[in-house]
Amino acid sequence: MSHDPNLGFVVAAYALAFVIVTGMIVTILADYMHLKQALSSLSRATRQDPGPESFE
Amino acid sequence: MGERCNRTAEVRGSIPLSSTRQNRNVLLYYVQPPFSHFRTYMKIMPNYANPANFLRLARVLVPLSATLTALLLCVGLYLAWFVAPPDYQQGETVRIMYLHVPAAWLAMAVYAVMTSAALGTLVWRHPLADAAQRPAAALGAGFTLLCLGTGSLWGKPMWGAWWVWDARLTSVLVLFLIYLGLLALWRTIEDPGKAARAAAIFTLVGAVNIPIIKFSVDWWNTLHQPASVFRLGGPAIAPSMLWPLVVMAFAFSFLFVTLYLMAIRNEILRRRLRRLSILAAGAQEQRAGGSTAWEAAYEP
Repeated sequence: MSHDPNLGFVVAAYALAFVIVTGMIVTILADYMHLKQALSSLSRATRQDPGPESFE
Repeated sequence: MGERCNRTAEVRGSIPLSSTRQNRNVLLYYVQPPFSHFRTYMKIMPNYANPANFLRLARVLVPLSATLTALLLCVGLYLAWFVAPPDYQQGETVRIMYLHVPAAWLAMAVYAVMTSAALGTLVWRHPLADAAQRPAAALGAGFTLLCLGTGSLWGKPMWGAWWVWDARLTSVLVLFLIYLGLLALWRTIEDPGKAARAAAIFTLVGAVNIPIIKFSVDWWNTLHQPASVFRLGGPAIAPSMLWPLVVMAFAFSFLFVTLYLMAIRNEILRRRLRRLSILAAGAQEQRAGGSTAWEAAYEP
């Protein structure tokens, strides 16, 4: 396998796939963490300062 | 009404067919059950496809699907690198196929998923349909980019060019641009309802590109090879190469399912955050000034 002159293209293709797939996973997980944090901080803020109407 | 109920009961077999209407009822027996199942499905579908139920379901399905994806990827990569033989003409370069072909299938399959979600938005106006369509576009763009990138890296050593304006390559590039256009459309239109309808119409119009991609190698004289797996007469690939490809295709499919469930969950949470933020801002304004900004704007 290591003697193939085109092995660099194969390795580059797998590296590209790794980057794209990891990018998609990391983006979705980071988005999830951000949303969970925003929702929890919003609910914490409304619990500390409860208004006359509840919006839950 | 009563007669209609009796007829329904007759065709479902709970009361015997009357001899006078036997021929008509025999016809109904074959025609009505699928429609009655469809009606039942349409009645129960909203119960299962509501955001709260989806979040509960995703909590169970995401870990299962992620585990299955990891297992299939490990097996598929092992088969692709260490078990599948090199091609007699292409040598080791054929190993790019185990990434390129599943990515191409997923690029088209994701668009089919988006098309059905677009129908859900336009026909049934289901709130989860748009939440299902939007994350699919980002994933579809990712798989299409992977298909184009690996194809280019395969094309250079085999064809001597990174890119040719071949019908198959060009139609896949158009698919990538459609995905990007849809993502831009959602970002451009501020009103979520209008954005959902515009994106759904754009998706349905763009669906015409999918058969063009599939049959481009048959309709035009292309440099890209014709279909070698899904073709009349069976696959043209040797089983030693076909099985790693099938395992990798399943791995990519489960990867999509996992990421898609996670992305829909994010979309639901984003909408919940938006709704709660608007309500919180309204409540805060009411407490501060006695009237909301909306009321102040419309005061005479």
